[in-house]
Amino acid sequence: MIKKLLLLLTFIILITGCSKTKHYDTNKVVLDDIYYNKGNFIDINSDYLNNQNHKNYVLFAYNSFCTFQIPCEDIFQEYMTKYKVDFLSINIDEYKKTKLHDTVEYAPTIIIVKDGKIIAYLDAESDDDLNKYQDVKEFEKWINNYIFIPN
Amino acid sequence: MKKYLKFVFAILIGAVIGGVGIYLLCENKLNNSRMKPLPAQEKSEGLRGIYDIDKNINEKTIDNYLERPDVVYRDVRMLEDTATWENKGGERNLTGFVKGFEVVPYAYLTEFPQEYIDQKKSENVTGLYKGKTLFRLEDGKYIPNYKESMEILEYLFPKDKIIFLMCGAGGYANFTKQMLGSLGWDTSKIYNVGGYWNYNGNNSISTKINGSDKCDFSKVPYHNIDFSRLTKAN
Repeated sequence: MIKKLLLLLTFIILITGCSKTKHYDTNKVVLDDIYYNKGNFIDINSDYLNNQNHKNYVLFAYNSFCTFQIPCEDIFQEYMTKYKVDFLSINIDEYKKTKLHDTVEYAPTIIIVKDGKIIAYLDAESDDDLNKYQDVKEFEKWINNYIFIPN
Repeated sequence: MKKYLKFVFAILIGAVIGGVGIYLLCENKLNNSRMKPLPAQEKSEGLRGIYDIDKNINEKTIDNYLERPDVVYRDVRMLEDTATWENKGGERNLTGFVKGFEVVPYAYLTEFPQEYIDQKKSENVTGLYKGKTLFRLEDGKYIPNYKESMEILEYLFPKDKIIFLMCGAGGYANFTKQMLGSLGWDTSKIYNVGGYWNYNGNNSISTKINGSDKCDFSKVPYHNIDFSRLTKAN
């Protein structure tokens, strides 16, 4: 009897465990509440960013001297205004002092962070990401794969 | 006997000095011939490729290519930029540079294209340098403003050397390379090695005075162009 009960219990745990895993697989990053706001850049420094462990946010690391046909911040701002999502922003000099720089070395970049860890980012050295810096639809398609946008 | 010993001693000293001198001369020549050839130019991919930043010789790897006698190193930023970069979170001052690079401001070489000025204005960056320059742009061509313009340019960017260009992010370095190419330089010998702001190596020299926002530019190897001494071209 006890054996049957144990078997049943194990079965129930396995079923619920699998469901939970399936649920996480399809989850997008739910940003911290404060970032579902007005669609602004929030300028920060390295001290602030290094204290954002276990937080969920989108970071724009920029290099002021960059010159592209369309300034990439205009692309990101259009997206942020549409969806009323705030991004943290940090200049390259401060960004180099953060732990994230160990993984993502070049600016400009957009980094999606969950629980303090990098989930995805735009790579300034990749041809695949070039259009996301210069076309708001491409950027939207990319970022909406990763972050949750409330209806 | 004493004279004889002095004579022998003098010969020995002369031989040692001569020997050391020849050794050093040969060692230098040997080192030059042992110097590894530079990797061929290869453009970076992505956004960095738009600036024509080199894939192999750039901010990450430049420390491996410093102090080469076959290369001149030029940082094309201004010591104190006239533009309002702080409006975009940047700064005007040359707060640091890579050891070995000498500063030759692109802004003094030629005028900024109007499209660039307009774009910066739309980004709230105004006040780009509009003063004297060695060349001006007319219908996409570089025209010397002074009789000495080309001579100065050839002195600053010798055609018989490989030229490494650096700036803040790679943009001005790209402009400089385009200009030199347009004026007859072999662009296969000109490398855009990227921007100081992406540099994290071991040869960074800060110009900031400890505890203040001020900079000490006396540390910077700088090429001044005294326009008052130049002869205006016809």
